[in-house]
Amino acid sequence: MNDLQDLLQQALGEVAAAADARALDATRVRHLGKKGLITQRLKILGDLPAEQRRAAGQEVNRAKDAVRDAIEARQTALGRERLAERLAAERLDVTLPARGQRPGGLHPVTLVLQDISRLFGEIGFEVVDGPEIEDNYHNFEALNIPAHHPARAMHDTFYLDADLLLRTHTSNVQARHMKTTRPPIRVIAPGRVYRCDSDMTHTPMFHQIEGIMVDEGVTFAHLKGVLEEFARHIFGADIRTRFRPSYFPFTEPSAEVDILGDNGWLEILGCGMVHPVVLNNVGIDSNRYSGFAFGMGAERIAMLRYGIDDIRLFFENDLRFLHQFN
Amino acid sequence: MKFSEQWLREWVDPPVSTAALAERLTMAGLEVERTTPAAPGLRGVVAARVEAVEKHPNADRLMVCAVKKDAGAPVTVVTGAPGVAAGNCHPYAGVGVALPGQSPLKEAKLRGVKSAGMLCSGVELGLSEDADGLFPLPADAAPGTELSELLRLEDQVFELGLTPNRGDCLSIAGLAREVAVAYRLPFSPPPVAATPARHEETRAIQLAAPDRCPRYAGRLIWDVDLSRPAPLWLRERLRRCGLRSLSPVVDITNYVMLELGQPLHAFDNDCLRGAIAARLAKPGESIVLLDGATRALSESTLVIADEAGPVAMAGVMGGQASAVTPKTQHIFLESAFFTPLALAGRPERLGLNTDASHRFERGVDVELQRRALERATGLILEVCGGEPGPVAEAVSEANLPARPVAPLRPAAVASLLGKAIDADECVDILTRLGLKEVAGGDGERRFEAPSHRFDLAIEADLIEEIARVHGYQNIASRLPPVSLAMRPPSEETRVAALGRALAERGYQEAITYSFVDPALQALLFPDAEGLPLLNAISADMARMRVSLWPGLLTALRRNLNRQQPRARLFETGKVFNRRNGGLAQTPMLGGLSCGGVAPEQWGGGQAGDFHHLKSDVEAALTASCGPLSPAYRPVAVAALHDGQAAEIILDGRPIGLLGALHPALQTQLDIDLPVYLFELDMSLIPAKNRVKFSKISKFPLVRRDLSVLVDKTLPVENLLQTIQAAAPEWLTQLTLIDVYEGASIEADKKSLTFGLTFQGVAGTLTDGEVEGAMERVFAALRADFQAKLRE
Repeated sequence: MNDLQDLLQQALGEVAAAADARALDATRVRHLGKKGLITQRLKILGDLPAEQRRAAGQEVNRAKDAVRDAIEARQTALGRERLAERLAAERLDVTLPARGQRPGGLHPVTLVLQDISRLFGEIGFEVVDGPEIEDNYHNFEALNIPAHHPARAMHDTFYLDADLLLRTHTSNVQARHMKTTRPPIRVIAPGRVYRCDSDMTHTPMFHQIEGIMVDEGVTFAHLKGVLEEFARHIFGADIRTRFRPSYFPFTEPSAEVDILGDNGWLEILGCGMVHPVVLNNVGIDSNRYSGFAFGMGAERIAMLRYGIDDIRLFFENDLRFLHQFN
Repeated sequence: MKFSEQWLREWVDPPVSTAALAERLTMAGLEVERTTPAAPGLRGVVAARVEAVEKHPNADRLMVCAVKKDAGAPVTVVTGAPGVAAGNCHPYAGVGVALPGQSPLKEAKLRGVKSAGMLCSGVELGLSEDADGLFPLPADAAPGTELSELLRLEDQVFELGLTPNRGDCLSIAGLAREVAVAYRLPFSPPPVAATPARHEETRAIQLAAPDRCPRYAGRLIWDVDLSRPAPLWLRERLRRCGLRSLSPVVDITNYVMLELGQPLHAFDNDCLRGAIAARLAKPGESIVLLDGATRALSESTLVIADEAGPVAMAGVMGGQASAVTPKTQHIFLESAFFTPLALAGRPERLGLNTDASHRFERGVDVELQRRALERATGLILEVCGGEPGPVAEAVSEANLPARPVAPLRPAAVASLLGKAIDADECVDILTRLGLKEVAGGDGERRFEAPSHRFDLAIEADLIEEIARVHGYQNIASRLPPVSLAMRPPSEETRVAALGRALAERGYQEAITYSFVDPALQALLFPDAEGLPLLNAISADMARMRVSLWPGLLTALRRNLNRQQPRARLFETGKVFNRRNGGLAQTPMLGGLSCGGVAPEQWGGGQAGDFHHLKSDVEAALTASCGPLSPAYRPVAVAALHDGQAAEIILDGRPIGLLGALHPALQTQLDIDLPVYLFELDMSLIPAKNRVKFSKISKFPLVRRDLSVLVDKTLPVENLLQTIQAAAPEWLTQLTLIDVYEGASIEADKKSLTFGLTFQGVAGTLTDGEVEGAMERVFAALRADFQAKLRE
């Protein structure tokens, strides 16, 4: 049976030499296929004497198993090599820049308005909208600013005709919203406002956010509490605020809120208790209900937050400016 | 308003520093915007007397003076100042003294004569704008006295930003009252003595518009001498309060206005004819004012007139013809009360904001006229001499402003402020502010407003005063208790989602002005009217936008001009149109894309086109209202390319536009690359529908492709509709996967390849079912569009 051993050695040699799956398969067919060299040895077992047949059969089967194992092992090895080659071939420069779309982003003023809306949203303020072309009544008179009131001179109003104007503040929403809603009222109104003025600190259009809360038992102490909380969230927990008496025809008492910056106090918003005349104008009983209102400029807050020094940049829409806030 | 701290402290002098006083005023609602020294450092500048003057031997314009600058011997000073004369006193800066902004003086030789220091003009000292001549000092000034001591220059100028309700604080007297209240100090205005008349002449006064001028007082003063300036101390005070010295009488009337708050006017009496009337202007009347300009007077303008016509615009400015001059001999001095309504915004409109109009518009104390007239008379007699006549006063009691009475309930104080303030403190604050408690409140305490306040009519006004004086900082903050309520997401949330979707696709949000260049808007929208502004800030911001495109295109051009190669911008905001006789303010979402889909990058990129933009629009819509398939209909609009413009249709209704900027406009706007634009009417985008789940079939998918040749001009949408209609309901997906036009097919045809995916709901589809469906689909395409199979 030495020739079986030779055959086995020959087969194992061929398996080891097989360079790829195809050569390996050819080797398998040559030795283990239906007409394979080793398979044939099984077929001639019948020619042997009966007492030798069993032992010879076992030997051939062992040889067959040995070749099959070798083929499997070789197969695995070849597969591993192939994978290694593929991995080597597919090696990328992982430092190549990303491809595809680069996300854009929202305007810094929108970001500020959204932040403010979210903060007040968390304590139950609803976002409402108001017209930008407004009439004299809702922009001024309903807010206790009659014609020829000196406060009007501070507003630098754009007019479309004798009655229609571009709203000078988001406070018009006070008059409009409260007319159609009953307390408890908690709303904020972000939006565009207009004043004919233009220099490094003024643009003829800018954004304000107005807030109103009217209910039974709303006090000036509450106004302070809410706005101090707000300032801490916008400017940081350590921010110092102060409420300075001021004057708006539609609030009483009125205040301006300053925060302490590196170079002293900076005004960030105006506020006050809704004037009883305003409540009465919108049909809310000022003996039963009280409320506070506040209004602030979004650009001013964005300028403080991002360190922007020229308000006009907000409306030039230079992509190199806008990208910085993405 | 500016005022001198020194002057204020003569009235009331709290024991606190300048900084503390400023802080206290600010926290009482009288915002101190800044405090600045009344004069720059003038250390070493002293009073000196010119003993003798000689002509310079070598220069015509120079004089050589012997100047006595201290107790020692006079020094020699060379000066070129005109009018230098022996006996006069002037400020002197010796060698080593530095004038403001200058280096220390050295001994100089002027044309061969040594000069030890210099005599100074007001400009050199930073004390006036008058460069002509030396700064005059009183003749009795002791040589060697420090100028800062002599002029009391150790003073601070406070600059106040007063709110319009506090006209009463536009004077030293008013501010002093506030300071006294803040520091709980006594406040008693110095008495003003009435000057007895030395003759009986007066002018008759007629109140012809008593609702606008209910009180007018006047006095004749004969024989004044206006040749000498007002005293230095008075002019120095005016300077510190920001007023220029003009003539002695005007300086005195200004001084009294600053001191007491009452604007006064002096007429040259020889230029007046007959009685004085405060009346409305008559048709066709005009006046030349002190500023030299001729003003036509509208019939609602209150004027002061004599029998010949208007001599002043009441409360605003006097007329030129009756102005006081150095030659004036007799004056008529006016002290009147004009109501805020009398001015009614007029000064602002006319550009005539004067110190007087500023005060009258905000409200002058109606009880002040006689007192101010007496105060001015006293000063005039002191400075200019003269013979005063009696005070003539006309009053219309019925038209004097009412003194409102308001209640004050402790409970109301607590419920408005959130802090109970002691009733005694409340009453003390109000009383110090000048309110008077009146009887008859039926158990309530009631207070009458003082004549100098125009903003104290109701209880809330009184509570505000109490809060302000008590100190806002002394009212503890609290968070309000609130009722809880859940709410549906707001419109704001939807707009935000839309913006984020576009941002993810590379769009940058822009905010452009709501008013645009009418020329650009007309180019894009020749038929739109747009609302013009009456008082536009500039010609290119003169009309309200009817679309977001003019602003976005302007922003695009600006970026292209700044060498940005690619721009994707969007904006949300309102546009404004006249519609059906009314006004529509429509919220819109607009955007544009110019350049590559993605930024320039390795591996190449794709130029953006119409259909890319479509996908961006659909992504935005999906973010806002869930997946939906809008239809697109070709449309002709001036702004867009004739062949690349579509209306976006949702549920049969146009909701916006999409397309390429018209090439002619692109050229006109000097843009190199095509620009793709879209705009959606936000009010027409439906809210997100509640999603209804549909079962996912577990049976295998079958995919078939179909390529057909059809007319080039045929809209794909028509084929898609036919396929959908012809296919069985188990067609689960239909995708256009290829469009081909070109060499291998007829020139007027295009080849379209559709991918159809089928999936059974109740069982695995058989080949026969799928083939049958494909045949029906093709048969329908052939029938509707003469489609041919492409092999």
